[in-house]
Amino acid sequence: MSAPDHDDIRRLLQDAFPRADPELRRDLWPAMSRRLEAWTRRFVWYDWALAGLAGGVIAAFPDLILVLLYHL
Amino acid sequence: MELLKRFRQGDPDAFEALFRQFQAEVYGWIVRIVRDPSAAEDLTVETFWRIHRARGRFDPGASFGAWARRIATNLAIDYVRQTRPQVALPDDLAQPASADPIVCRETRRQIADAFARLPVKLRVAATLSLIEEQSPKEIAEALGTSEGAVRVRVFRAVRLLRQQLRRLGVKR
Repeated sequence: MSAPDHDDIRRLLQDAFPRADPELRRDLWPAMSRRLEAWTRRFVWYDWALAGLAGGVIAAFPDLILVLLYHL
Repeated sequence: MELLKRFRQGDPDAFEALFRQFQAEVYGWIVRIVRDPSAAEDLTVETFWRIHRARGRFDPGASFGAWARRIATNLAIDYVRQTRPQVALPDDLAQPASADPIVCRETRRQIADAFARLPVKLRVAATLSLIEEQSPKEIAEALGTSEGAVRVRVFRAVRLLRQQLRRLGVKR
């Protein structure tokens, strides 16, 4: 399995597939930043939803407060 | 080292600094595998997103670049696996970089077709080794395997390719 064994296939492949241009043409930080912000916003939404749910449960079953306090 | 520790602790400035430092390297590696600049940009962002989420597992004493490249490679392989093999060649292939008059356009299409039919792991190893001419050491690190395993994958890819090309009557 010496390297020269592959030379003909290497040449065929390099003819069929031009080498990729590895240079990055633009800064990707804005896209990354948007992704991070969307994730943060989603978690804020979840936090509020959970707080609302907990508030609703306590409003519907106020006795639960005593049970929670007992377990604390 | 200090930057890596801050990154691990969740410091957003440290993450941004690492992103800016490594984005070009990660993109360059991904585009060599997926061969689509637009997809490579998306996968670069996805790679750093995963890095951000997995920061707690990062060892600040290890190489951030190697870790990033490993994550990027796995994502790129998944992308290649999910993408249907592109048999149709772009127009610019009518004039290849190394203009070999013997290899006509139809032959190149057949080669691309045969190459697209290789198993993904073999195709990725062959792409990085034979087309992009990356070293076995670099490929092995990125694939999380040994240099010997990379050589075996390339060897198997070449063998399968030879068989398919012979069947198509392309092998010269």
